[in-house]
Amino acid sequence: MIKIKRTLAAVAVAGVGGVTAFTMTAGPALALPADYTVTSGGSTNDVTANNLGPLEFQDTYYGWNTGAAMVCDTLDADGEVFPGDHAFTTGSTVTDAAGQVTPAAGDLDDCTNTVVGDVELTPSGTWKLGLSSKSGNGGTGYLSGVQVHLHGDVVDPVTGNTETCDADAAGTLKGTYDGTTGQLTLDHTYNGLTLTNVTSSNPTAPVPLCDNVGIYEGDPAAGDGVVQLTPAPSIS
Amino acid sequence: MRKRSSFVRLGAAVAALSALLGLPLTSAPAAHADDPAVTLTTLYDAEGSSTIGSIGVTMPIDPTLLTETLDVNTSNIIDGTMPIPSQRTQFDAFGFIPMRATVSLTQVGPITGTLRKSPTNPRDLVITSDVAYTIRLSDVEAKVFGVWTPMFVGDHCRTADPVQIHVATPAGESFNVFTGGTVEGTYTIGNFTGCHAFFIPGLGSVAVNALVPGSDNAISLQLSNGRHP
Repeated sequence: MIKIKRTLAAVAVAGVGGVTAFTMTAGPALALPADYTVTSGGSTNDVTANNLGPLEFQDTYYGWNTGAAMVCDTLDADGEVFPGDHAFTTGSTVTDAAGQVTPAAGDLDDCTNTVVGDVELTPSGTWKLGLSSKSGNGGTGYLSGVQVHLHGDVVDPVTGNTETCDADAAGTLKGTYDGTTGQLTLDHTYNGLTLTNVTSSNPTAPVPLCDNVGIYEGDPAAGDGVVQLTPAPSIS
Repeated sequence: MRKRSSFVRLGAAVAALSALLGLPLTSAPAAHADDPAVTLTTLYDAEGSSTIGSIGVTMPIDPTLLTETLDVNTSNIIDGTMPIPSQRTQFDAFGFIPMRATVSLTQVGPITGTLRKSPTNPRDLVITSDVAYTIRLSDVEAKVFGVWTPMFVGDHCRTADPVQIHVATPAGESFNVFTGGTVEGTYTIGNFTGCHAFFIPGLGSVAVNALVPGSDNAISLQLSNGRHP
């Protein structure tokens, strides 16, 4: 059970002819009913996150399959599950995580863009998974705290000269988690990522490289694919 | 260290020589657009149609592959190819004589053009492309008394000069490097050379140049599936 201890800060009220101060403190710890319970799939709480098939991230300003897409063939990140009772995630930010992964540089690999070719996606931060609703041994979940740096370059095959496009994607992914299989299936209709720090190395070109591939500051982005958590944490 | 000293001395010598000759020293690094090209080659599936106004026929352009190379710094298309499959086409000469012929196009020179931001929506792109083709006619036949009869135009019946074709993103539309888009244009077919006049009973001798050349020609292509080679 989640226990929340609430303390209200002192409230000062200025009255006529003087100042009156009130201090209120909640009494005993407040126990809330659990929305779901997580059980680790192994003997420890360690978990790994791997892709099951390609993982795809797209700039979705004009919708899915209309803009820049980055497809990665490798995700290999470590994390942990938090066994016990949890409250549903009510917004797009997970505050009571059922588990989390902390992907490092190189954990998201073998990424390509259909036009540019090879691209680098460098993940960082702590990606927290929480359910917003439960269905059987799973439910709808959010993965918040996602941070990925995108770097794409065009290398001239003759001169070796390079032009680059860089951007940061940050925010939340949404998906459906199946506690029986440990699979989180991402929902590409949820545009929970935002692209910032979009930088082309040739900003004075009529169409800088980032603009060429349709990546603009503030664009929404989404993810698609299946993430396999091993051993599979179960939900009850 | 020794290398650096030599380099410094060389620099001083060059400066002194420049001063003597009244020449400016090497200027600051060139502007980015002047840098050697960084090219990005992209493949597109292409198909569409072309209408030849003089004979009132619309020929399909069967699925083919467009390869275009973009200079990333200038956003200009500096190279490209698009083979157009030969077509067997049928039309009515002078409006009443059924004829058919094989039309073959051979690209002359590279595809060039531009990729620019749309004037109406800067995050949308528009393209222009220029390409030239030599058009060759062969296996010309006319339906004479209900029978398809060969008309001997010869083996070298082609346009004297390559046909210059300019296409662009239509007004109000945009081009997406991933999903492609439509390009349209008009072009003029000039005179043919190397063609024998052919004889049609009841009509007499007919020259290819009396049939095909004209300016009322249009082309429309749908480009799709942009991808790295």
